[in-house]
Amino acid sequence: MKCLIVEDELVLAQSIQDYLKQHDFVCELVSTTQTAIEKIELHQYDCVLLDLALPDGHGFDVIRHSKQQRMDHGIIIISAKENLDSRIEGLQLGADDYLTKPFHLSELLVRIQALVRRKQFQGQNDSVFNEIVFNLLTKRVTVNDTVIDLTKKEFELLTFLIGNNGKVISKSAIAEHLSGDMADLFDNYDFVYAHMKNLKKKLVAAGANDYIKTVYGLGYKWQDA
Amino acid sequence: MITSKPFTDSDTNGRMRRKLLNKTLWLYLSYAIVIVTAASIGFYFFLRNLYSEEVLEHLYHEKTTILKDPSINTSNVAEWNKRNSLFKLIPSEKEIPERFYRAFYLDQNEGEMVPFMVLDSPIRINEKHYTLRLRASLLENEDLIESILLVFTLLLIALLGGIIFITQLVSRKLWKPFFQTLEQLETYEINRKMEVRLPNTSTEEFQRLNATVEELIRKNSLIYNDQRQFIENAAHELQTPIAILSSQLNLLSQSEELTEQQALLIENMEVSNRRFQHLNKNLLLLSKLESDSSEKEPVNLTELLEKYLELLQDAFGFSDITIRPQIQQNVVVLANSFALSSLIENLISNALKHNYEGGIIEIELTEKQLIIRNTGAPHPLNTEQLFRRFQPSSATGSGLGLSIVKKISDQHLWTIEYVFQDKKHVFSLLFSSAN
Repeated sequence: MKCLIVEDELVLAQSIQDYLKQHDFVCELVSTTQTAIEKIELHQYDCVLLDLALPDGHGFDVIRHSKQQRMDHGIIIISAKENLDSRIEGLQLGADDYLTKPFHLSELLVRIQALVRRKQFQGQNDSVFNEIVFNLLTKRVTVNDTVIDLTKKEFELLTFLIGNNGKVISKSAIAEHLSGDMADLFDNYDFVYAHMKNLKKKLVAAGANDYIKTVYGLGYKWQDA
Repeated sequence: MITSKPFTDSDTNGRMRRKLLNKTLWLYLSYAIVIVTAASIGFYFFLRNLYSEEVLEHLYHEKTTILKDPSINTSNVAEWNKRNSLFKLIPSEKEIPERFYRAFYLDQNEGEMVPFMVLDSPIRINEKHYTLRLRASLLENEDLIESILLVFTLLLIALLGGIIFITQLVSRKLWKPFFQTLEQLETYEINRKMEVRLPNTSTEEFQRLNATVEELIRKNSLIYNDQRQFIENAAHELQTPIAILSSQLNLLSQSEELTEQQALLIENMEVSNRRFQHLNKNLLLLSKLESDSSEKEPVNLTELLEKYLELLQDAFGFSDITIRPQIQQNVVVLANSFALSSLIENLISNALKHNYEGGIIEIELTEKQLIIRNTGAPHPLNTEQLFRRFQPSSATGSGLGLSIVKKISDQHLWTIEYVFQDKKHVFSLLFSSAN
């Protein structure tokens, strides 16, 4: 899958590239609206990550251009502006998602995956990980063709972990993913541990491999044994 | 209007005004009383002396007449004395010096003792010594005092009344622009973008006052805005380095061969970075809240709270903290939904963070108020500093939470109150202006 990163902070752009690379994303980096527009005219991308405050203009120009040209890549805005107005305006212009800096790379990855999946299959398809099959739309999960009953949070956790397959995910990233903007409510992430334990128990009980590894001091990891 | 408030007014304006009035009034009044009293006393003595001299002169004149009277001799002294009630011839041993004095005698007509002016002079009748005692009543003198007192009392009343009236008039007319300015200043808040309209006045001092106040306000709002802008910019600029740090730590934790010690270091950095992030987010929020008077819309508070409760139940279903909601259906308040969410988030977050294992959080919502009670520290919080910035009550808090709550509640003209009751910390948000 191809991804264009429009970001003038090179270090940030590179770390996104590094993280996505291991998940079969080919990323290209540009740092101005001008070069971004040139790139999307020449190449076909699955996803564009777009910073709004760019040296030669506003990221919205890129969205306007791609919508005028009826390009079908997904657009995720990554902005330092925690601002409801610019979020609404961006989404109205045609961006698919909005992520406020700072964000966890794991969160960015699952957002991109969800976006690509929506664009390509309208979310209808089943995702498969070895013996585990899950459907994002129906929220149905089967292990070896046996349906298992997961709570909403457990389902979100499962897709987040599988999406970041092989990556260490910090507890705070999981907490934020599960509680959205309300993660700041909590001082500790005991609830992450509790959800994780339950999910693990249900998967193993249904006969799945134990893919969830605890990484000391850092968080969790979904690892294909 | 302040200037028409009665004297008995007990609010700040009233007291201020009474003080100012009293100061001038008392000065005028005491001066008037002293002057009028001194004048009446002085005038009284002056008139009395004048009258006494008049009487005395009359007595001397009488004396001269009597001395020239040839019909008096020793044989008819007794008879002469009987004939004249006011003049007496008293035999004496030797010749006494002439003298005059005041004395009281019984007045036949009045039936009481009245003051008299008395003149004793030596007289020789047929080579015998006599004292001629002449008297004149000073009764009219007392009438005089009464008249003078009456006149002066009337004068005093007229004077005092005049002073009070003029002071009232002065305060009402002359001080009017001053009180208008004062009223404007009392309602002025620097973070509201409000126009201060000071009254036009022809009094030079008030013109100066107004000009100074206007200049002061202008300068201060400029500085205030600069500072707010600075905080906002600084917080915005910090977002990117925080994002970079966060992503770098993400990447670092993916390294294959991390030792436990390194993992711990990364975790500590992540925790610090999160605090940093949280603090910065709150700073942004605060500066945003101060800058705009965002549009308000009807927000269904019941739905909003239930969203939070769902999350809380989910997160705390495993822990020992019991949440007891008591939420009235369809409570709608007029609010900025973004700000309202921040407010509720901060209140609930505090109730969670400052709680203990096995603690309780009660959330009560009615149309009039939102009450959040939580168990926690066994002593009440310092209410004076509670809602100020950077007054964290725990090591992990940013110290901004409650100042955000206060700011938002102020912006909506709501009231936020804190009490320590039944060993619970109780925060009540009163929607006083909610419809």
